[in-house]
Formats: sequence, C-alpha cells, structure tokens
Amino acid sequence: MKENILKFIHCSDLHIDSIINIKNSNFLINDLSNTNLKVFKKIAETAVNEKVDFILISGDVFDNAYLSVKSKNEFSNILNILNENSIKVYISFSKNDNYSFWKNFIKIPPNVHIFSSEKIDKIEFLKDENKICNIYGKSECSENDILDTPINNEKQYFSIGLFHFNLEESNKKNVEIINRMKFKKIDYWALGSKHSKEILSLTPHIIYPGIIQGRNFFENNTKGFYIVEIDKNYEINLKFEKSQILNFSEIVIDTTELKSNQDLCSLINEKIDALKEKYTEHLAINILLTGKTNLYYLFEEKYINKITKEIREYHNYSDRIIIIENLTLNIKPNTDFETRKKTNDFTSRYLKEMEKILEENPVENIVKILKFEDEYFRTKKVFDSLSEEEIMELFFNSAYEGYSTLEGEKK
Amino acid sequence: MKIKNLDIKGFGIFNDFSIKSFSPNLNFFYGPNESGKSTLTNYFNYIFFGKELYKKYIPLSGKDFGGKISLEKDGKTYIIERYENISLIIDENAKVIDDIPNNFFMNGISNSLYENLFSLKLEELEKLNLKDKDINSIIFSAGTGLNNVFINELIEKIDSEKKLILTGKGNNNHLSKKNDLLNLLEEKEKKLEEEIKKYPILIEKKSELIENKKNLTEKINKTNEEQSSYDSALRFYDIFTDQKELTEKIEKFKDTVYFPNNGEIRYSNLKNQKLDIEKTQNLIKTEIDSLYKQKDSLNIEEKILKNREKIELLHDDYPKYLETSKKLNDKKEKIRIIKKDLEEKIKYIGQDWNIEKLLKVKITSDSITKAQNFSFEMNNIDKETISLKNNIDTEQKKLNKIETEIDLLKQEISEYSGEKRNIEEIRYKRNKIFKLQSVLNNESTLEKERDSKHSKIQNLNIKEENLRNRIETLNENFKNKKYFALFTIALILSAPAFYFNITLGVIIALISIFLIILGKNNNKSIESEKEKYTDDLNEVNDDLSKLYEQIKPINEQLINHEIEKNNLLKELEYSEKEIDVEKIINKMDDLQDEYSEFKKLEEKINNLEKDKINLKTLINEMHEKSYNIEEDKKTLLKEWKRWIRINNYEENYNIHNFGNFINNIENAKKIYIDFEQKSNELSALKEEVLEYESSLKEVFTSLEFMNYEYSDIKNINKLLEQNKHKKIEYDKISKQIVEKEEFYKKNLIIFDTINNEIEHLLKSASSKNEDEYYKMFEKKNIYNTIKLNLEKTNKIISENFFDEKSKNELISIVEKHSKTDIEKKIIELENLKTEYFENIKTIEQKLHEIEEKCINIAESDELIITKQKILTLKEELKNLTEKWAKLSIIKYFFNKTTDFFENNKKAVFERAADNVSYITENNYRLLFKNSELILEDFEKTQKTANLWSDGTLDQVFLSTRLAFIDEHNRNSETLPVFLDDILVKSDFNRKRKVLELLIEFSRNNQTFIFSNNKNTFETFKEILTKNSLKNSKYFILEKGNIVDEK
Repeated sequence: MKENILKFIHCSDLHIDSIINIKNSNFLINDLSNTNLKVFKKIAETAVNEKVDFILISGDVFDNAYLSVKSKNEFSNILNILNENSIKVYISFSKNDNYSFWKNFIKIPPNVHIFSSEKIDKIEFLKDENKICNIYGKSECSENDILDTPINNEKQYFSIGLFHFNLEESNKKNVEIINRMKFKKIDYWALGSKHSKEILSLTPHIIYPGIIQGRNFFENNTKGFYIVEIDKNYEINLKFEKSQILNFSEIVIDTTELKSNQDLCSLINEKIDALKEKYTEHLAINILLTGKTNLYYLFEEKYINKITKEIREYHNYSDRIIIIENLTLNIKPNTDFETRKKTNDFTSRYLKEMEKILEENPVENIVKILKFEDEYFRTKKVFDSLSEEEIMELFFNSAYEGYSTLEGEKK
Repeated sequence: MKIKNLDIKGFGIFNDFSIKSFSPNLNFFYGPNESGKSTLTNYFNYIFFGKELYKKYIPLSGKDFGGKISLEKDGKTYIIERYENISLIIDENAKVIDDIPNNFFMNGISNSLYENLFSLKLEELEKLNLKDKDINSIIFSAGTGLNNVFINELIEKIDSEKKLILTGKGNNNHLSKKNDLLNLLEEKEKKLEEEIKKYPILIEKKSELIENKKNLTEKINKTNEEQSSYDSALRFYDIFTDQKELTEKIEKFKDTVYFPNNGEIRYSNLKNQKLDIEKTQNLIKTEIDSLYKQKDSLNIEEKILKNREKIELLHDDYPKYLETSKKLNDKKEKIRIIKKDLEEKIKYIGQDWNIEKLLKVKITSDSITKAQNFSFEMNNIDKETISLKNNIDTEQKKLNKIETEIDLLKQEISEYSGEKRNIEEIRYKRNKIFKLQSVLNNESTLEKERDSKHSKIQNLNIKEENLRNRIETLNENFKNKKYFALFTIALILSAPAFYFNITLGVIIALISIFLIILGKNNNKSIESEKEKYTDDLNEVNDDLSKLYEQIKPINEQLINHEIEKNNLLKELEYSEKEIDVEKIINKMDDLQDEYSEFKKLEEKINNLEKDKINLKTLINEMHEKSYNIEEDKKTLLKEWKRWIRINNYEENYNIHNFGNFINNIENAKKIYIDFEQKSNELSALKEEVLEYESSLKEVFTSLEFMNYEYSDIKNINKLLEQNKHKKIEYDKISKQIVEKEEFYKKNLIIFDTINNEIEHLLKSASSKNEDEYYKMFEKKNIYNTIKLNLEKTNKIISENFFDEKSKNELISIVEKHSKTDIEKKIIELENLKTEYFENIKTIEQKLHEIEEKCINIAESDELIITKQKILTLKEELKNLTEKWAKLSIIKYFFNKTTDFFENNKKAVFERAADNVSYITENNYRLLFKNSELILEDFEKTQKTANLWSDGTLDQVFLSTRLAFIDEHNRNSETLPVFLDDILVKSDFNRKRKVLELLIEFSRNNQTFIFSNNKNTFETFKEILTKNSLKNSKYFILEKGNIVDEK
C-alpha cells in the first residue's frame, strides 16, 4: 500500500439553500427537504470516515446570501462537527456567497480558514508540526486573480490553488489561461463554478468537481466530489465520489413502433426499472414521448393523466422516492403530410396554412398569431420567458392536435 | 387508386372468402341483412387503417385475423396484407414497400375522415334532422372528419375553453387567479428577503441593547457596592471606633515587641536542656574507658592475618591442585600413545618421511584440485585412446566391405553389350521410327480425304446427268410451242366458223383462247423450270471444278509422303513389308531400359569408389589423432612428475592413486594436530601444579614453618579463622569507641549552642539577667492582651471586608461622616438604583422583541418555501399559457381553413347543385343564399332545408358529399367510395337518377354500393343492361358467400 502524505476532499458549488425544481412539493417538504444541505453533511461524514486532512470548498456555498439564515447556521454546525474531528476546512467564497453580509452573525469554528476577498493569501498546512503543503486562495476572485497568483517557488511542498472562477467566462481562450496557470507551478488547482465535473488538465491538475447535487433536469449527470490522495512522490490519485441523493433523469420513448397503449405503460415501467437498477438514489423522472405514431389519436389529456397516474401508483411502493415529474408529448401523427396536402379539403388547406407560417421567420409569425388575441397581455410574461425552441415545439404540438381534430381522430 | 380483388382469411363472417376481380368503376353488392355487406366495408377500413376498432371482427374459429387486397395505383399493382393488425405492402416485383397503407394509398387521410367523406351510410342519413337549425352547417361539414360537427362549432368550443383557462368559472385553476397568486407570492418573497437583509441590523441593535443593559447593570452594581459600603459603615461604625482606640493604646507597649515569642517557655526549656546534656556527657566518658580495656585484652596474630588471602586461596585451591596433578599424569600417558600412532602413519606415507617433512608438505585446496585435474585429464586421454581405437577398427571393416562390393559390381557391368551401352544410337533410331509413324498416319489421312472427294465428284456427276436429262425433257417444250401455234390457228379459224355458226364460232374462239392462255401459262412454268435446272446444272459444275482443284494438292502431298517414307525405311534398314512400327518401338524401349540399368550400375560403382576414398581418409585421420593423444599423455606425465617434485610430494604415487597420498597426509596431520594440542594441555597442567606449590612454599616461609607438607595448609587455615574472629571483635569495639567519642563531641557543641541561645534571648528581651527577663515577660503579656482585642476587632472587620480597598473606603467614610449622614446617603443610593432597574426593564422588553424577530428569521424556511411555491406556480402558469396558446393557434388555423372554404364553397356547391338538378330531373335547383341552402323549383318557389322532404334531404346530402369527394380528389389519388343503403328514402325515379349519377361518378371514382333492397338492385341491373356498361359489376351476397356475380 502506498504511503500518502496528504489526503483531502475537493468540493464546490454546494448551493446549500437551493431549491429543487420539481412541482411535487410533498416530497420536498418531507424526504427531500434541504437536499443540498443533507448532501454536504454526507460529505462531512465521508471526510471523517476517510480521515482526510482537510476539505477544500471552492465557492458558491449558497445560492444567495439573503435566502436563509438557518441554512448558514446549519452550515456552521457541520463545520463544527469537522472541527471536533480535527479536520480543517479551507474556503474561497464566491460573490453569491456575499460573506461580508453574514460573517458577523454566523460563528465559524477555528478549524475553518476563509480566504480574504482583498488579496491572494498563502496558507501553510502542517501535519505533526511538519509543513506539507501551501494553499493559495482568494474569495470573490476574478480572472486577474488567477493570473496574478504568485509563482510557487517552494517545489519541495505540495501546492494548491483554491478559486471560484469559470475559465470559460474569460475573454481569453482556455488554452491560453491554462498555459499561464501551468507557469505558476501549482500542483493542484481546486476550482469551482462549473456545475458539471471536468478535468481541464492533469499537468498540472486543474479540476472542477461540479455541483454536489443537481437541482433540476438540466443538472442531470452524476454529481459529487473528489477525494484526492498525494503520495511521497507527489503523485496525485483522484477518486470521484457520487454525493447526490436525488437523480434527475429523462426517459425518451419513441412511439414509432408502438402497437398498443398497453405497450406504452409497460415500456415506460421497464425504462424506470432500468433507471432504478442503474442508480441507487431517489429519482425524479421526465418522460418524453417522441416519434411518429399511428396511435397519435389516443394521446389526449385525459389519457396522459391516466397513464401518469398509473405509473406513479405503480412506483409508489418502491424502496426509494420515484417522482414522475412530467409526461411530455413531442409526437406527431404517422402521416405523410406532403401527400396529404395534395388533396383538396379542409385538412390539406389547414396543412398549407401551417406551411405558410413556417416559411419565413416562423417564431415571429407564431407570436403574431398570439398577439392578435385580446388576452395576450395576460400571458405575455410567460411567453417572454420561452425560448425559440419551446415556441416551435408548442406550435407543432398545437398544429398536430388541430390536424388530428380535423381528421376526426381527436375530440 | 382502384381495388382489384380481395382475399379474406378471417374477418367477421368471412372465412377463406375471395373476390377475384372488382370493377374499376361501380361495384354493386346486393344481399339481405346479415349477409356481410357492412362487414365488407369494415374489412376495407381494417386493411387500410388497421385500427383496434375492428377487433370485434376477430374470427371465433381461431383462423388468422385478416387477409389481403390487391389494388392498382399509378398503373402499378400492389398487395396489402394485414394479419393481426400488422400490415405489409408488396409491389408487383414482390418488393416490400416501407410505408403504411393509409399513407401510401389513401393520401395520408385518417380513418375518420375517410369514413366521414368517402363512406355514406344509412345511419348517417338517419341522423339528419330537418328541424335541426344547423342543417346547413352539417351539410357543409361533409368535407371534414368531424362527423356532422361543423368547424364553427369547434371554434366556439375553443373560445369557451380559452375563457375557462384565462378567467375560470367557479374554480381557482385559471390564469388570472394564478397570476394574482403569483404576484402575492412575489411580494411576499421581496418582503422576506428584505427582512433577511435587515437581519444584521437587528443583530447589531441587539448587541447595542445588550451593551446598554450591561452598562446599566454595572451602574447598579456600583451603586449596590456604594450602598453596601455605607451600610457596612453604618453597621460597623462602633467597631471602627473601638479599633481606633486600641490602636492608640498599643503604641505605649511598643517596646515589648521584641520580647521573644514564648520567651518564658523557651528560656526554661533551654535551661533544662543544659542540665540534661551535662549528665549525659559524664556517662559517655565512663563507657569509652571500659571499651578501651576490652580492646586491649584481645591477642591477634598479625602475621597470619597479613597472609589471609593467600592462605584462604591456597586452602580453597587445594582440592583443585590434587585433581590437576592427577590429570597431568593421565595426559602424559595419552601423549605417549598418540606419538606412537603418528610415527606409524608417517612411515606409511613413505619410508624416509618424518614429522618435519610432514609439516613441510602443504595440501591446499588448490593442490587437491590440481591433482584432480591431472587425474581427470589422464582419464580423458585414456578414454579417447580407447574410443579412437574402436572407431579405427569399425571404419576398417567398412572399407573392406566396400572394396568387395565394388569388385562384384565391376564384374556385373562387364556383361553389358555395346548395343545396350550406346544410348545415342538408340535415341536416333527411336526418333526415326516416330517420324515414320507420323508419315504413315498422314498418308492414311490424306488418302481418306481424297477418297471422300472422289465419291462427292461421283455424286455430282450423277446429278449433272440427271439435270441434263431433265433439261432435255423440258426442251420438248417445243411441242408446246407447236401446240401453241395450233391453238392460235384454231382461233383464227374460229372467225369463219363464227360466220357460219355464231355459237360454234364463239365456242371455238373461247376454247382456243382458253387453251392458248392455259398453254401460255404452262409454257411459262416450263421455261422457268428449265431456267432453274440450268442454274442447278451450272452450280453442280462449279462444285465439281472446286473438288477437282482440292484433290490436286492432296495428291501432291501423298507423293511427298511416299518419298519421305522410303528414305526413312532405308535409314532404318527395314523393308516396307517388315515394318511393324509398334514392335520396333517396343524394342527401342527395351534397349533404353537396359541402358538405364547399365547407367545405374556405373553410378553405383562411382559412389562406392567415393565412399572408399572417404573412409581411407577418415582412418588416416584417426591414426593421426591417436598419435597426438599419445603425445599429450606423455606431456601430462612429465608435468605431473615436475609438480610432485616442486611440492615435495611422494613420487611413488601416480596420478590415479595420488588421492591415497593426500588422504594419508591429511590423516597424519590430523594426528599431529591432536598430539600438539595434548602436549600444550600437558604443559598448562604442569604450570598450574608448579604455581600452586610455589605459592604454598612462599606462605609457609613467611610464616616461618620449616618442615611442612602440602596438606598442612588445612591447619594453617584453621588458625587463620580463629584470628579472623578476633579481628572482627576488635573492629567492633573500635567502632563503638569512635561512635561514643563522636557523640560526646556533638553534645559539647549542643551545650555551647544552648548557652548562646540563652544569651540571645536575654539580649532580645533587653535584659541582662534572668530577673529582668521575667519582668519584661509580664509587660509583654499586657501587650498581647491589647493586641488580642485589637485583633478581634480587626477580625470582625476583615471577616466582613475581604479586601483592603473596601475596608479603607469604610474607614474613610466613618472618619468623614457622621452616622446620620451615612443613613441619608444610603437612602439616596436606593433611589438611584430603582431608576436604573426601570431602564433595564425597558431595554429587556425591546431585546425580547428583537430576539424573537431574529429567531424567526434564523429558523425560518419561509423564503425558500415561497420561492419553491413561486417556481411551481410559474410552471403551472406556463402550462396554462401553453394550453391557451395551443387553442389560439388551432383556432387561427381553423379560421383560416374555413375562410378559405367560405371563399371556395362556390365551386363545391356548384357541383352539388348540378348533381341535385340531375337527380331531380331539373325540377329543382340548389342555391345558397347567405350561407343557407335553398331549393328553387321551376316556378321559382324557394324552400329552405327545413321544408324539404327526408328523401330530398338525403339526396342533397349525397350530392354535396359527392361534390366534396370530387373536390378532394381534384389534385390527388382518387379513393374508393362506399355507399351503404343510401336510397332507402328515394322514390323510384329519384333512385334511378341517383344510380345513373353514381354510375357516371364511378367513371372517375371506384364506387361500392351496398343494398338489401331488391328494387334498387333490379333498377341497377336494368340500367346496366341498357347502357351496356362494360366496367360495372354486381355481386349477390348471402351469409358471407358470393352466390352470383356479373
């Protein structure tokens, strides 16, 4: 077994006070309340079990300084537990954390060092009274801070740079910044800000561990933190540990080959079971139906609600929480529209009108249709927030439904 | 698209049912109820659309559910198969088309639309109600799949749904409500955020209040302290006064301060101690004297004691000495034996060997190795020598054998004749023979060819003769010419015959003319025949000349072959009679074989000769090698002897038994080592014995013992023990004396010290003598009493005042103020305290309020929950908005669609109007005014729809439907139309007209009519007959079977 001189945890973007974006608030009040805080507590427990020397936190501890005092107290409690276990914590806060707002009324125990936002500091970490490594850091850092980090001349000690900054926000190219970072001779750049884990470089190590718990369906890959071990020869061994207790997943079902509605239910359940097999944590699932199907006429609101209810009931008694968040349709009828347009009836006229909208500036045309309605002003706020893709999806779903109604397939 | 035929495996009542061909125009199905008419219509729907609606037609018999139909599209034939709702489209090249039937054949329309537009059933007509105010709309909606629901109705429904989404009605799940709720939540969110932002201010305020409270508390404490001081001052006012008096009194007895503490007791103690010491000293002196006397009474022999150690040692070592002497004698005997053994071993090595020589010889591991190498080499040489000798013998035997074999072969080879040895001659002759054979073959071939040509020539000659004969025969044609002249004369002569007898003349002329003509014709044919025969003859002659020309070179070749053949025979010395090519060739072959055998023998002899030479060479080499080995052996022996000499080894040993020499040397050396070791041990023992004896002698001499034996040491030891005891005693007494003298000295010192102390006490008390001392003592007692009282007072004060500061404070208060003043001050301070307490209460109230607020904020999740609610609500709003938007978009397109058709209605209804006019035989005209359908009769009377008869309504509906179908199919594939019992309400004339219209309609649109009405059927048959329509068919159905078709 290799002898390690140093062992630490690197995590970032805790977002302890963040909201989990799911509609079913029952779960949020009970089992999934304060999810990110629970996850950070788990990380602290891991730190104690793994007997790490310290924890690095590179920013975005909170979503927002003004969201919750309670969460800050709870954060402080967890830091106390680490203090009782003699584990140090080094933090570089981000601007969102706004540490100056709450530093006077939240007690931080003595094992925690918070890097100042005024200038880059260098802290020495000692073990049994022997210096093992240097840690550079600054809170609320900018691109210049990263580039102004002093060159580490003490090569006999391991060195760490702790900053919260997304390199992609810089005007310079990633490659240029990375090269300048290499020049600083720092062994391990513990960065934060990106919510997906990424290893930008291994010489030196430039690491984003990503957020510790996803909060919505856009943050749906595996979230966690790194346990880093350094041996006598300063070789770095990285181990990524999953920390999320709630996984956001999307199931896409292609309805093209669907023969009957019974097939659909069993297919969805199969895919959910597969997710349950793959992941051990709670699941929030979006189901998206796609494809061109002969069964398009079946998919009315009542039917969708019925299926959603059935699926929820089926998975109600699982060994963990399964949230079926949405069952969304992105399907179209299995019709050759080009051939259909050739006939001379209401439906073909309907299709041709559809075509006119899509010819040039479709999004503009669609918004014009809606603006023509008297009640548009009540809905303007929502529409202003929709992306072009969402507007186009809405348009197609509406158009196909109208088409299906005209064809007598839907009521 | 036209349906050509169908084949049902299992569908409803149809099992293994097929219709081989449909008409591409009109197909009429007549059958009673339950004969399968509707099932047939549904079968087509099932094939095209395959919906689950048709599950009711799954056969109970367990047969395959489904079947196929064949249809024609764009001039190509396709088959659609559908079993268990899985469809397959196959083209005429048996290739599967990757599409679904309704897309590929039905222009992509839905099942509903198809049924609503291309299918008209009795049920649909029965649903029409003249009283229905939307009858116009229903008719107008024929072009959609909405099944008698008009688009405008739908649009109204959409509007009401939108309204429900926006403003709701009796529920809270509408946009407005949710927007209001969202606004409220957002306000709440702002408020909560503001509260949290104020949290640090609250904390600061709290700290301020705490600070104020702390200050007030301190003030209260201070006031309490002051008050307490004054209280104490009041309480202890008398005590302080007493203290002051005592302090003044004690000053007067100040001079007794220096009187030693417990001076009296100390003085008397010292005095007593002095007396004790004196007594003790006297006793000790007496004891010391007595001890000195005792000491002198002991008589110790110093000489013995001086040699104590030696005597003891010698006494202890005496048994060892005896043992050693014994060992010495034993050793001497052993050494003698070993020496004898050694001498024997040395002799064994060699006659002139001795110990000196033995010691000189060194057998090292190198010399052993060298000896082994010599032995090893010698062995190898011997082995090689033996092996070589064996090989030489073996090779010599082989050589002898080869020589014998060569002799035998040479004898054998000498028996071969010259003929068998001359291979060149054999080959030459063989070639000639083959050439001769070839010439003979060619000759035979040419002769055959020549003969065949001859026979051809012969045949041609015969042919020529025949032709000539024929020509000859034809030449008799001349007769024909004569015959021709005769008939001509007859004709001429017919003129006069005519003169005499018209009839006869005419007859003669006619006959002549007839015969002339006949003859001419005959002549013509003969001439042509003759020409033909002449051509044939010429042809034969050409062939003959060709053949002759071909024969010529063959003959020439034959001559050449003859010459060559003769030359070859001559060379081979054979006559033509003797020649038997095969036999000769066989003989050549035999000769060639024998030659090969000869050559083999020759080769074998050569190989053996080579082997012989090689063997001889090998044997010579071996002899040479053997000689070399001998030389090596001699060299080795020389080297061996030289090595022996250098190392002074025994020359009588050879290489092979030199190991024995080594063993002997080693054994001898081992014995010698043993001998030496034993000799050394012997010397050691001797030394030991001698040493002991000399020590003993020394001791006896010093003790002046003259005649002694070694065993006398025991007696001397006894004496020594006695003197030792005496010495111990002596030492003990001396030690006691020393101790007592030391004690005496110590007591003297103590005595002096006591005297000094007594002096010191007197001096301290400022007394010169004992009396003065005691007087001072009494004064001191008085002083102590005063001091005690003062101490008591001070104690009371100190018990009640722990620190100097508060005490001094009290003292200063007592000194400065009177009792009355102090009481006044106490009251004043009490009032101040009360004021402070009230201020603290106010602060605490405020603090409580702020703490509550802080706790609420610190423990609250409300902002997060509110944000969560906002997020959820926004999602709901988004959903509702999207729903509203969806409906708006659908409405937009519906409006556009109806707008278009409003504008294009005219074309459809014009066509419908034509249909109506036809059906009503121009008795009625269909108009539409203000989007309303009106029938106008020939008297210009106008009737709105509610005034029509049921039959007329049906007919107008049908007319419109047909017009829509035409409109639908204008730019696309025509689709088959199904009409099921639609003429129920029509009278005879109208029925007929409708049928005629449908027949006309079916020219462009394949149509299927189903009816259970015999009258309708008969009418149809009649029309068919009259119009001779080739492309219409009727089928009579009965319980799922076709009983007749035409």
